Amino acid sequence: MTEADRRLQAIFAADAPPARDPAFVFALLHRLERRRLHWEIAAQAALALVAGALLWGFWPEVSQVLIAATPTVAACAAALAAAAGLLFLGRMLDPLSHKG
Amino acid sequence: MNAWGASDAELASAARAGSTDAFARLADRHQAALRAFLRRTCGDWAEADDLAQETLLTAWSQLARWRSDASFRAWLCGIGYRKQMTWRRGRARAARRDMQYLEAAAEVSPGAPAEDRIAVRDAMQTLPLDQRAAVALCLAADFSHAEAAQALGAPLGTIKSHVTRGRARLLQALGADDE
Repeated sequence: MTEADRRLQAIFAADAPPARDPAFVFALLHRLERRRLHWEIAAQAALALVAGALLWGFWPEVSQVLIAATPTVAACAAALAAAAGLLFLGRMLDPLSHKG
Repeated sequence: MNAWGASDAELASAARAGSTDAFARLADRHQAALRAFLRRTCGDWAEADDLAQETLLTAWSQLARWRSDASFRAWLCGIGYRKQMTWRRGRARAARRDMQYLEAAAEVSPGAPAEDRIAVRDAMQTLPLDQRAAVALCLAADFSHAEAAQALGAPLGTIKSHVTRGRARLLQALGADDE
């Protein structure tokens, strides 16, 4: 290496950042986490859009299934509501349940 | 394997599998080389550091493309070089402000005389970008010509020629003899 090369290297050395720089890495990881969050939100939004489009596209079939299932679902819902009401009444009328 | 523990390939593999800690160690290991390269070619230190972060984020999302038989820092510098070319297209207007900034930075930096630093940085800014990048890798850092060729995506002979011409321009700016 010539004297001129040594001079050049000394000048370039002034531009060198530190070998370890935790602040730089911390800022980088902060940006990385933000980018991951943005990607996650974008993925969820895309999924919601696809689901919405599928529902819209298949709505005639879906609505048929819903209409066919309604009597069964309604009967189940009525039975569950009646059972819940009876349980509630039973607890209200049971004298032991108020004694603590 | 190196002095800081796991090899680049091991860390990259862990980072690909989702380890943020492995990626942080890779970034910590190579940030100095990447930032130095971008500072020397870009001129604006703050902008160079921002580009370095963008480069590392791109590297994180493209880790699967890195071949473990290639140099990781050369691959990083290649991404940084392409980012800088994109960034440079949109900012000719700020060039004058940057030169003022560089002169101010040179005056407060320790080490070599301020007039030498200004002369070299001015000369660097007059080099074509590909020549400046080759000089920044091979003369200012310890990249081999082959590594620089990989980073810049240029033939080996072109890199050698860029370094020779760039060095001659810088020495001329310094008023130094090439002996």
